Amino acid sequence: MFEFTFNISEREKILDHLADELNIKVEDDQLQIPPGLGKGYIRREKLPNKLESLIFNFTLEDDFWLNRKKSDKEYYVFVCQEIEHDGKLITEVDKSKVEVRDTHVSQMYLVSFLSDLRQFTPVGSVVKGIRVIISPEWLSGHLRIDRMEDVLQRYLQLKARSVHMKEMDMESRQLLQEIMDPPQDLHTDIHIFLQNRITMILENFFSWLHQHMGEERGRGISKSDINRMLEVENLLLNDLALAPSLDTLAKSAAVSVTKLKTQFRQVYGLPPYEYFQQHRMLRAKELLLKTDLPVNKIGAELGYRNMSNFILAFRKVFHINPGELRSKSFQKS
Amino acid sequence: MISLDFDHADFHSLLKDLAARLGTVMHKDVLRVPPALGKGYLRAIRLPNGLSVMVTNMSMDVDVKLHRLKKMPAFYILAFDEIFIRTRLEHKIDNEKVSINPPIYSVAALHSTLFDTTVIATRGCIISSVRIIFDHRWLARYFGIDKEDELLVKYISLKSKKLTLEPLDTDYRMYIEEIYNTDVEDPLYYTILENRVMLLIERFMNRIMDKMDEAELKNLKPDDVFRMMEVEAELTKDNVMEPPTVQELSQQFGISQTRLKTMFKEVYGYPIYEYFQRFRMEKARAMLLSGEHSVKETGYQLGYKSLSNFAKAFRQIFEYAPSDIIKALKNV
Repeated sequence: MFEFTFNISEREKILDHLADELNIKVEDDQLQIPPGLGKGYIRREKLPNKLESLIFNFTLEDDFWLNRKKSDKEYYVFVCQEIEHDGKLITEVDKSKVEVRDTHVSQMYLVSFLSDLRQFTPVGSVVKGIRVIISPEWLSGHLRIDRMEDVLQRYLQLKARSVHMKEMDMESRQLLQEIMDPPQDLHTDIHIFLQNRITMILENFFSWLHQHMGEERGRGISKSDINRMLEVENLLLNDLALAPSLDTLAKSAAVSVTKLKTQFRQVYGLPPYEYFQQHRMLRAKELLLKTDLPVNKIGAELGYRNMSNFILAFRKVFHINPGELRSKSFQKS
Repeated sequence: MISLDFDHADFHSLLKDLAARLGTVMHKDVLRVPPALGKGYLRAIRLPNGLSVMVTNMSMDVDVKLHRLKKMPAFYILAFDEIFIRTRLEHKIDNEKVSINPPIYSVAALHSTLFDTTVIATRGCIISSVRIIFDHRWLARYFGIDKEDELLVKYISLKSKKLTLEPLDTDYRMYIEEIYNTDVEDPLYYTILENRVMLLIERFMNRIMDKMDEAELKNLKPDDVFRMMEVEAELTKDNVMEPPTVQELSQQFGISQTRLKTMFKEVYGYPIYEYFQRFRMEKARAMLLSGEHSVKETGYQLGYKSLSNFAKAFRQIFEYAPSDIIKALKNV
């Protein structure tokens, strides 16, 4: 296992630090991943508009842990990447953690420098994408901060929960493809080509952020409210076989049941029980696709004593019976 | 006739003076055309990356003459103009004059203040335009093109050809439409505008350098290019019906079929039918992306009787199926 720890305060030198750890040198702003750790490159791009970006494309021959220590600067890092793997990806932002088992991941997300970030990528992973450091100046020039600040704060408070990693849209995927593999017959400077595509991806991400965390959601909700809902959410999903009652949740957060319901919905977009159900069924789907457990065992594991209730609940979310889903995926492979 | 002489290096001060000339004032960044003179607006925008941009959408009930004075050190104006001409449009660079006849002038062109430039638009013109001002320092920083760069100097000094014409095609128009369609109140307004403007510049630079390399358009006179613009307007008039055939176009415009085919491809980069298909499929994609139309509806609306033909045609242009868009929208 290779573990790389760094401080955000030295962000200009991240690539050099990594090179030092690996006993190699950065040449022409590019680091070649050495044999043993993997194959491929990480490249630093100096863009005309001063956005600092890394472009990477590599295959890992070892497990990789990345630890980024928080700083007191209000910068952000934006990540847009595709990963193919057959283990599990782990992302931890401060104390909140998410594991992804989907073998093909294409995601976009934003993390603040004010948080600790730990990421695990397993051996065999094929990773390609971009990382862009975004300054408060860039944000205030490009977004109407009076209307986006709340949205941004809300998003960052939600930390690592997978729901807040945005699946890449088709256009962004295409743009990323162009960044990884630019046309040969370009007449203009390659940097302008890369910059234009990187800023288009940023536009796509921030539009999504605005639409999904925008005005109608969570207007007038404070930072401490969000933190409280974050704890409620943790408790709610603690055991997918048994949903805690609204009373229990309200007590844990020291708010009234009415307030709990409103605020939870403001932050997560769904009432608590529906949110619980959705995660429960996502787990069911995962077990169906990734294990050989019989359908009734999966139902039982998720707290269903009555199989037809399980099937009904599953249908409600995915519009298909659990058994059908499994035989379909079986046919595919 | 309303006429204005100017030499401003940014659009805010230009619009302020124009407003005074029209007997009105600007509201924030916007100059509304007074009802007695016409309809519409001109908007000046300062992008986060420092570029000054003007977005115009107006029709004039009077003749207008705009005269940009020679100024050193030189700066550049990249103009994306779509003008519907009622009677006449005239361009003058130094003392060389081009008259452009109705119905349409739809061109991207790079101007410089190395020369005097005059535009005269007679009453009834409908003008949509996106204009960008930059100087050589900006060009050097963003495109690695120096002031002394041969290509650019060559391009700019092509005034003997009167205008170096880069007709607007569907790709340019897509970016331009997105600029018009973005709400000023959108929190991402400046990001969206900056991105579109940068893509317009990128595409323009790539295209003119292509042309310089290959000395393309060598045998085309400005009049030929204008004629092709009319052909293009006819071709893209309607995206539902089968397009006019080459034979029909050749009769309508009085050009031999062979010459029509060669000229169209030289000006727009694609054979006539393929160009039409691209135009039609861009419409299809926009309909699908709006989330308001199913694949079936879209195909039918674009005149396809067979959905599999539609899907096949779509895939040929974009390398994915129309249904992929619907799926992707569901995931969002």
